[in-house]
Amino acid sequence: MSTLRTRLTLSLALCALWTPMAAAQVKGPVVIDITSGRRDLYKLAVPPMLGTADAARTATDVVSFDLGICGWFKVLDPASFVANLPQEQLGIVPDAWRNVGAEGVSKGRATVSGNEVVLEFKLYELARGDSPVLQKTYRGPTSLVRNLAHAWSNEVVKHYTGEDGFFDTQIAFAGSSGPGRKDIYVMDYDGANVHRVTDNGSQNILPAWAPNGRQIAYTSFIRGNPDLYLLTIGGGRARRISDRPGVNMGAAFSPDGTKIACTLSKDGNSEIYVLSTDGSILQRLTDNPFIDSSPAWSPDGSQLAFVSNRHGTPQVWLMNANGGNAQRLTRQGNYNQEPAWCPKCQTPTIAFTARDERAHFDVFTIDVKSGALTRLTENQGEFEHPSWSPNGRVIAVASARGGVYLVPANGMIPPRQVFRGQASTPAWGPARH
Amino acid sequence: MGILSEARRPGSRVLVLGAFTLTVLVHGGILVAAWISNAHAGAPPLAQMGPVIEVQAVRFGKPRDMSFLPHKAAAPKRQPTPKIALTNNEKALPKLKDPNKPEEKTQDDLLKKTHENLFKDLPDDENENNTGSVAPEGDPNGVKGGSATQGKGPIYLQHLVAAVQNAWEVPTTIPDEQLKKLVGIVYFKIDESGNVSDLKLQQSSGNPSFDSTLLAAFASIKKFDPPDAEVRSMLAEGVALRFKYEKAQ
Repeated sequence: MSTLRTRLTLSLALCALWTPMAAAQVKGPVVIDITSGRRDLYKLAVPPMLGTADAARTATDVVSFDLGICGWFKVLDPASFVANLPQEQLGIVPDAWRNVGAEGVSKGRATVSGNEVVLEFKLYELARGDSPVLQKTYRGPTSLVRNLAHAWSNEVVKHYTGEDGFFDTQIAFAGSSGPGRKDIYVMDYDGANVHRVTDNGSQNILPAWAPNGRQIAYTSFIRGNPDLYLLTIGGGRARRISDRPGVNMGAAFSPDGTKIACTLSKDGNSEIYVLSTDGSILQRLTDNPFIDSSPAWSPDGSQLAFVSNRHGTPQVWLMNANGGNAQRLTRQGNYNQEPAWCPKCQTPTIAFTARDERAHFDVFTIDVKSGALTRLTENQGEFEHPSWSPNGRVIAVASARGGVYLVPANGMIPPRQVFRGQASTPAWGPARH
Repeated sequence: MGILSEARRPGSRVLVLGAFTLTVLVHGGILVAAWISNAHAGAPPLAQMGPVIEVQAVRFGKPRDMSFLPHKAAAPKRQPTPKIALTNNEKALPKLKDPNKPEEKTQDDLLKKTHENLFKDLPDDENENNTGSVAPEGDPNGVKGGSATQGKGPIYLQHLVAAVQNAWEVPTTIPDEQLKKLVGIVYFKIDESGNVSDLKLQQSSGNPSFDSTLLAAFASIKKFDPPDAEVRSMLAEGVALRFKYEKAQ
């Protein structure tokens, strides 16, 4: 009987498909649901800008890099372009761009007059024809041509996604300044304008930005002990805010900028404390015989992620901002460290460094609610110490082989190096708009 | 009033005792036969058999220890074949879910209902009234003696859907949350050579970027397989593709 039922059911299913055809004489179009397609990067062409050579080249490079790393666009290879650029000027012939697979085109012209540069940009969506959907003109000193180009990139991202870009942000990191020396450096997010902000002949590590972007906390060995300092960007001497015996490191500003969580070992064991910005202890958050370190605030300041070995191996833990309700978060792998809380992810997400069973260090993210792990890097170099872009789309990491890399959090674009040379512990600065 | 009442009659007691004795003898005989069978018909001892070969099922590859960290996700697989929901009723075109309206019957519901009706009067194997007759198979309105392979329409439409699906690229610039809410309908006709004509966006999703992906999909297709007469008849009034991206699970 069951066989009979199965056959009848199959026949019925086939009839269900057949019936509309058999009844084709009924008026009306056939309706079909399309429920899946390919989720892909938006293909954007950024042809060389017209105008004054140096400024045009610089601005083109900046826009190409910005839009290519942000996780939304695939910037097409200019070698594939077939459009007649001199003839098109700032307009487009849509078919010439469709033929190379472009969905959008960013065109521009740079005009330098004395020390001033004028950048004109136009954005086209091929589906909307040959009229620009966005156009902007920027004017400023030639020294700011990169900044002006970044501003255009931010506008493009805003146009397509409604989100703010991060192209005017900076990244701080600890870089080698010579034998036995490490200093804190700050650079534009794309690796331009690298400059040193400490110069004391010692080891300076673990920079952390204040939310206002005007101060950096870091740990320095200048007095032999790893003490905590606070440096104001753009001038002034660094202020020592914690020189208690033992380690004073791993500073992390609270989202409102009024408190600093850090690791102190003044009592012989590494514990997590909350300090005021003048260095006075506000609260001790952990108190146990194990090692607790690397605090990272949640975006709303209600929780802290940290690293603890209280279950035998270093794992990422969560606790309330008052130190209560500590819970282990990571359960896979036996060496998980350096948590960084995504500032703007749709679901609470933490990036961290993990050592896999082959002893390779890579960057992972974990969904705080579900515990689901995602591996962002593998066999691309040893990456560690993740730090999120302000919009939560890209993660800056340091490579154990040297350099700072950017890794889009959606995993759709391979890591891009933005700084060559020895660098560690990158810290992505806040948005500046 | 059975044997007991019969036993009260004179002479019937002998009959009951005889039946009881006969039952005991028959059951005893069965037990003896079973014992003899077990004693003489068992498996031959191992010594009389060939060499013993130890067999172990082997699984290729080693399962990954769940305590290990995961590998990086491979390139996304192709999406599964989409569900083809067919209707030839133009009124069904804007048949989108309205939270304020009661749930409409779906194709599955109709299938289930028809299934129940079909089996309502079907004789059951366990039913003593089963006469052994077999109910007629297939749709009573279908072609007598027809088979599934003659239904070219669905196969053609499946190819059509696959082609559209392969060509439909939704850019990451549209956030997931927003994408879930977007529905756009594209209308077109297919001529006898398979060329697309009268292509138009029949219902905008409200998002220009999403709408542009719908028409862009057809820009790369341009032409389908030539439909036969039967399919042409079915698609005489055109095709409306209703695009609603559902993220792969």
